[in-house]
Amino acid sequence: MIDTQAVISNLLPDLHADTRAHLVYWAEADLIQFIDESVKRLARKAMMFVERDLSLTTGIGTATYALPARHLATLHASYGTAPLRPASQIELEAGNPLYVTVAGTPAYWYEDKIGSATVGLSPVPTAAAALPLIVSVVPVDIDVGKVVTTLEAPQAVAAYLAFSVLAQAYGRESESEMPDVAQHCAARVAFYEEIFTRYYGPGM
Amino acid sequence: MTVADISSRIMTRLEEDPAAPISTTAVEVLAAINEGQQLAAFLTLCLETTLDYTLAGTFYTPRSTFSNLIVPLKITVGGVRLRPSTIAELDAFNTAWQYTYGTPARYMTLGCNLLAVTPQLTSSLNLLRWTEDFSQVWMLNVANTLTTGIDDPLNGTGASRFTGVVASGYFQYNIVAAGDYTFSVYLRKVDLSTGFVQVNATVYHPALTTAWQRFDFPVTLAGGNTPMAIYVNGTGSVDVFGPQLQLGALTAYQKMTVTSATSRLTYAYSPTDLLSNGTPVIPAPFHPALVEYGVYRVKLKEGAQGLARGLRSLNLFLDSMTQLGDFTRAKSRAARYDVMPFELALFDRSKLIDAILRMQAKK
Repeated sequence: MIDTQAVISNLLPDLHADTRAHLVYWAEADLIQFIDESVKRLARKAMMFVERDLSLTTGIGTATYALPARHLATLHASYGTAPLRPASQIELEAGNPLYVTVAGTPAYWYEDKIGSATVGLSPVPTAAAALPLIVSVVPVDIDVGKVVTTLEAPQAVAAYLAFSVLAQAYGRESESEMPDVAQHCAARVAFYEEIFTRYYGPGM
Repeated sequence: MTVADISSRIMTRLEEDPAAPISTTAVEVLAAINEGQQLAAFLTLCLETTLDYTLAGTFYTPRSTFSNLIVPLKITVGGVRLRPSTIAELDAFNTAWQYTYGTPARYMTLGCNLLAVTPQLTSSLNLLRWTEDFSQVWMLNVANTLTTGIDDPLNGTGASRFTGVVASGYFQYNIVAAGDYTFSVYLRKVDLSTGFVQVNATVYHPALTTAWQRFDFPVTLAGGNTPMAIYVNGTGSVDVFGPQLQLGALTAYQKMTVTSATSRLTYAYSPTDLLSNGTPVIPAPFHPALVEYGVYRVKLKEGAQGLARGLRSLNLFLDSMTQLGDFTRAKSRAARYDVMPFELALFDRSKLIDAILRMQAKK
């Protein structure tokens, strides 16, 4: 579990401050926002945050369903206990032009051309059943109000967040700008992302 | 080397008095050492541990149990290694892999905290354990004689003969959720004796004959620790086979043995943060690399020439980590671990170091 407040505390010397109150060029809120943006970038770059979502249930005659909150990408879908195969609508149409309305036991899931954050099933379910999804997600926001300050991730992510904050802090156009430090820290961020991708798989 | 030694060397390299540093602090240096050790462990996967992990289902979030987990390296059940797979492979091998009963054979991981194991030791078709061996988890109610190897109705020899007096037989407790269940069992009378079945507090007296019959008893259970019992009714013998407790209506008999197993999970872990009086846990020959990382990390914030000097130290740290990673890779490959450390030798460091130095030189 990463404590983002501890990450900020450890960063203070790098930002030439001994306490949050003594930060000159940035406010604590800036640093929290940098961390939040970094977490979202990490979720996009590497497949770090994967969850099994059990919130969806099919409805009789309902073809499409809203994807769970924080959804980034669907990795696997099941209809009850049976895995569904991913497909595009053009493939489904080639198999059966009435794929949008034909009823039966779902065999495929698709997400293209039905708007974002929606998953479609074909054939259209004829029964209510669980629709378990394995999804890559964006973690809950790390908020300035400090309601959420932790992140479930390997410890190395703490350093990733630290370098990401430094890259953004020293890359910001101001009297504090240090382009060489910012560029190096950005390269450290990319370095970590390469390792995360190696261990956990590529992101979007 | 201890943390104190490493801190002192970093201070000296920074031309600081370890007792009264000016441009840095002991806390900053300690944080740098910890960051260096975390990076070393993450880059090289050099820290491994093997611990028990209970398997009783399909999906797991192992970080809930092992908060220092980086990646699983190997999983065994009963000494047998589970094979790593992708989720597409599991779908291709068996479309019912999420709900197949049997001894675990494969596992799959996704992200940093999702693990799936298949087959599962639990079955939704039968919540009982050891359904053909009453010498295991079943508890004896009143003493009887248990004879095994009796011909069963499915053309095997998995049936047992209970010989005793009234209420002699076996029961087992299972924790169930509230709901409508069906308890079923094959029974056959051998002599004048007959048998009875008790599900929780309810007793049933099925009409036994000398032929095998499968009796089923729909019951509504309130949930909690619930006993299921099969007893002889009167002095004599009854043949028993295939007790089954399932949620919902009766289905075909599913033989069960254990419902959970202790696996051995070998994984690469992140070290606990060091205190000022600690000793790094990465291999001792690589402790000097932490000095290099500490120098780099403290110099980083200076930018310009300070950063340039720090980058030289980072380069030396990465050289050391390349060696440690190669050593771990070779060892892991020999041990048939499933995940190998990051191959640092193939990483292009130019953007990390050379590009910064070139950028500074142009100024």
